[in-house]
Amino acid sequence: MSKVCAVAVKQLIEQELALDSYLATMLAELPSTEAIEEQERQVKKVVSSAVKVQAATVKTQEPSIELVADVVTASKALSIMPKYAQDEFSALFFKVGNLVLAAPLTDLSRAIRFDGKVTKIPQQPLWFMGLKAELEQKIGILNMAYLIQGKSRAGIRDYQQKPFTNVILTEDGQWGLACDELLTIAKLTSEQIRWRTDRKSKPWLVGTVIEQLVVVVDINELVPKRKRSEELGI
Amino acid sequence: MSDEKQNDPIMQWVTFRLGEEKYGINVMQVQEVLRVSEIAPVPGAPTYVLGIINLRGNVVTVIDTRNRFGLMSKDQDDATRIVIIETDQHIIGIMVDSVAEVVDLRASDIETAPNVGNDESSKYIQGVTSRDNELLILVDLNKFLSDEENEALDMF
Repeated sequence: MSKVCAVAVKQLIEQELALDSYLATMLAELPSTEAIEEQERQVKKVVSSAVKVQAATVKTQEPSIELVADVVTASKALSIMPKYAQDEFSALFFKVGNLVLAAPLTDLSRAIRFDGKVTKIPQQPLWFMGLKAELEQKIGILNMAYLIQGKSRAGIRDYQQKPFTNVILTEDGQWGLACDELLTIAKLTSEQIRWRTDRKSKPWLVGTVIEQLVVVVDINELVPKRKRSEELGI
Repeated sequence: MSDEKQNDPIMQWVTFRLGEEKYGINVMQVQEVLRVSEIAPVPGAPTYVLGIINLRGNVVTVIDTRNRFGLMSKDQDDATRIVIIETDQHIIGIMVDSVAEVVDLRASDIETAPNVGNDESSKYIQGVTSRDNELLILVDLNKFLSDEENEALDMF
């Protein structure tokens, strides 16, 4: 591998690491004090080992096995791309708190203004806001902040002071995901997105629009199944 | 026409309010509706049991429906009522914020409520229906209390 190629791959990996770090910060639950201290210890450890690795790289200037592994991962991502991403596709960009998200239009039926009025069903999980009657249909309204950011972040928000103003509906129209501002509809190509290869955790998080740092979500995966609340711990 | 009636029977439901929501219970299981009288607390009773009342010589346990539904408690007022109901196991009273009316509903008008919680939560929610621009939540009184809770009531 030439020096130029190695530098380009290194830049790509740095970019991906930055994306990982950004997503981890935005989507993770708020850590406890002990967790923060542990995180700081880990960061120190990683930094010191990274310095060692960098010194070794300067000496050898040879591509490492890790770089090759990342190239393999990138090609694996192509194979797990959703069907809609095979061609250019349209996505709705919207906000949940400060987080900007994008959902492919193929997964959605429509978006409606939300006045916050729902019929609450007793003893449902925190992320289930209630039922809303709309055009002779009963829509289950879900709190997207809880589903995406978890209880520790979503629970802080004062929903009376700052209620959700919009709901985006799933393709079958049975579920509505409450969110904040609807931003725009834009076309995306698969090259603009970094696709996640391992979706065991957060299966709804399918990728990231690299340039805008926007999370691409699978709306169908975001709708929880029965008993999911126990898994989510909320 | 008669086939249609058989396939889509009309049932009557007594509706009551708890907080912002309206609920419905099968009229056939409602014995009477009472104004709140003296409720004698029962030491050691679960939190959802308000106490017992003497109903013409019979002891009837009164359930705190707000507590059972996970709602904040509320002071009783003039509209508060105790609905005496008959379940498969017991005759009990359920305290509600107010009793509204009796409504006729076709079976086809009742839809299953989405249950995203676990098996125990909301198992007593029989369905939902739209009425007068609001949703009515229909409660299955036979599943209102679990088997253990019904057994516990035998002790009062």
